[in-house]
Amino acid sequence: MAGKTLIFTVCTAEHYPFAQALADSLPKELTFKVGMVGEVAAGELDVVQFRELPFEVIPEMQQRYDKPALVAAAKPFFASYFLQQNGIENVIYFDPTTFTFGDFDDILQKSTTYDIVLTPRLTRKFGKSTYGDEKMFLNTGMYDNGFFAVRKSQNTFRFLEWWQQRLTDRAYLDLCNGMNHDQLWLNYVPILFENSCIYKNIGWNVGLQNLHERVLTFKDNKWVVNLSEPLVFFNFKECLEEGTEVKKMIKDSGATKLLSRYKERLKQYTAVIPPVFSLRKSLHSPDSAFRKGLKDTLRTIVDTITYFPIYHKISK
Amino acid sequence: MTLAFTLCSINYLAQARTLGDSLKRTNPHIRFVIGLVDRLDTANVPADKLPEFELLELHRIGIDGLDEMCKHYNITELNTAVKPYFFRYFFGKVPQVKNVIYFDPDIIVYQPLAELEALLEKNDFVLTPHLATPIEDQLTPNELHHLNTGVYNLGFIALHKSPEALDFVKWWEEKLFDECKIDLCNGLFVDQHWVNFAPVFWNNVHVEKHPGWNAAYWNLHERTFTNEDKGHFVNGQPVVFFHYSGYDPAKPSVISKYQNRFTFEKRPDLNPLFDYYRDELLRNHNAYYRQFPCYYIKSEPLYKYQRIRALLKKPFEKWLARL
Repeated sequence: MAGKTLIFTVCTAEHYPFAQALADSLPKELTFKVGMVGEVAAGELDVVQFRELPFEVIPEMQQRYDKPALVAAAKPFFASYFLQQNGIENVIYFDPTTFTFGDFDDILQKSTTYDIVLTPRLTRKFGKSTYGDEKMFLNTGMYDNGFFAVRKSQNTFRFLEWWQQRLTDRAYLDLCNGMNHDQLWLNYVPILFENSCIYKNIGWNVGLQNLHERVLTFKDNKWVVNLSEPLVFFNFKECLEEGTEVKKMIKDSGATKLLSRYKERLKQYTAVIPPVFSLRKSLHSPDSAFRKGLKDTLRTIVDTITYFPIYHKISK
Repeated sequence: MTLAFTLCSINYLAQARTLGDSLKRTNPHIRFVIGLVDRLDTANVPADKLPEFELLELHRIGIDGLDEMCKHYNITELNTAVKPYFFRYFFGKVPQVKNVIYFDPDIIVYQPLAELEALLEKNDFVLTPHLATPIEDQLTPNELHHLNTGVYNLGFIALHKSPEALDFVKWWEEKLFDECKIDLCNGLFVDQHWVNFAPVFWNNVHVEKHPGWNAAYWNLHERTFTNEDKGHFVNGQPVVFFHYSGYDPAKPSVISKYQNRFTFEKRPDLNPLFDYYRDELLRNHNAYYRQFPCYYIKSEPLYKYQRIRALLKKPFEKWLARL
């Protein structure tokens, strides 16, 4: 089974150290490839370049998108390319900022049972937390783009082709128009495609967006989530941001040590941890107090002009 | 016992009556209630214009803070925001109720709902998606629109009385008390977008893709209709319920004001379904009901000197946009 499974990530040269750390965490018997967007980094890992994939639309995509959008949009192209290779039956994608912990059996089992496996970004209602509120998930996506697994089938190729077509020209970050890179499209997966699985295991795809519902403890040499499920993989993407809010969220969930160990590992490959695109950060750009005050004042002026009470009262 | 309800103000009573008539014909065992987001005492609707169906006025179901709720909603928002409150009322106050089905007033039920009732034996939620297959063009509405407004259409939702469903209803109520708005940039689209969470936060959610369920302008690309002796069919299967969203019998040549993909010329297969609907609405006094303003919605003052205001605002708005 293991020989037929290929794992890949997609990143730029700048983020190559993350891919190196991810590679360290994967079972050695599984094939691991790094899909590279832009310049190639020097390293030992098996690299495939995006611009060399056999898809006509790639040059136009490279023109169209900024780096975070292009990296996101490249995923189904790589998945489709790898899945078409002889002898490959399953392809699993992880964000480069992911680290896996121990037991891979459940991942392999799920990815050989279903055509498409996704994880929800959170699993329980919470109202409001430091991360944000529930409506923030509605126009950014219910299912996480940091992980997916696909199994070779006609249905899967239909899904990948559908996703590729959309990401060719609709992978912007433009929430007002229903776009959040590759992620928001995944909302359609359980509806438009058969044999898909939304796997709610709380040990999978732990990340800043679901830390409010997950507490991590280190027990018998293993990380455990909510004292029940073993931690299977953690995506550090949004945890790498410096800032008191993020630090607090990590501390409250017991993941401080986990994060510092991850950072230590990264330091083996890079002196400085490169900045990572964070959805949360891009939605909540922290304004300085002065800027915020100025904005509020301007908004008040605009509202006053709009509603200055010179009007016809209509009464029916 | 299964109860079905719809929600509308007096201006949509022709639609609600048409829905009620259709349920009575096809599912006489289902108790039908019109939840009225309006007040009959102030509207003075004459007795001969009152529907024969059970009417349950909004102020009778006991919503804490109803006045506050009305203040920040327009008629569409308010009519959708009260949906979970009615669900809770029916689950709590109607003895023996097992299933509660919500239909938008502009739906006609053409078939017995036995399959739905069977599904509710095993599932706590039944939802219908806008689309069951991809849309390749970018006319309106396309796949992007539903990503912004919700992948399930909330013109229909059916719940089985269970702890999961009640937990959902409670959560939905809290959300819709003040966040049942249209604000796409912030992820809000009335009651509908919130229901994307149903299969994530709760289990036992069934999503039914039968082409005869909740067929409407948003899924015409994948559904072809035929009219036979035995009734209306879609892709060879019976039309169970059709949703005439955005249709106005005063403009009978427009399939829906919310779409630009199809016309009746391009889709003559739709004519029998819509001809029937128009006749039903006219028979149920559509023009008469349309003139009633909703009791709960205060008309907004119309501000004068719009152009001068716009001119004055311009430099400040430009500055804001740059920040």
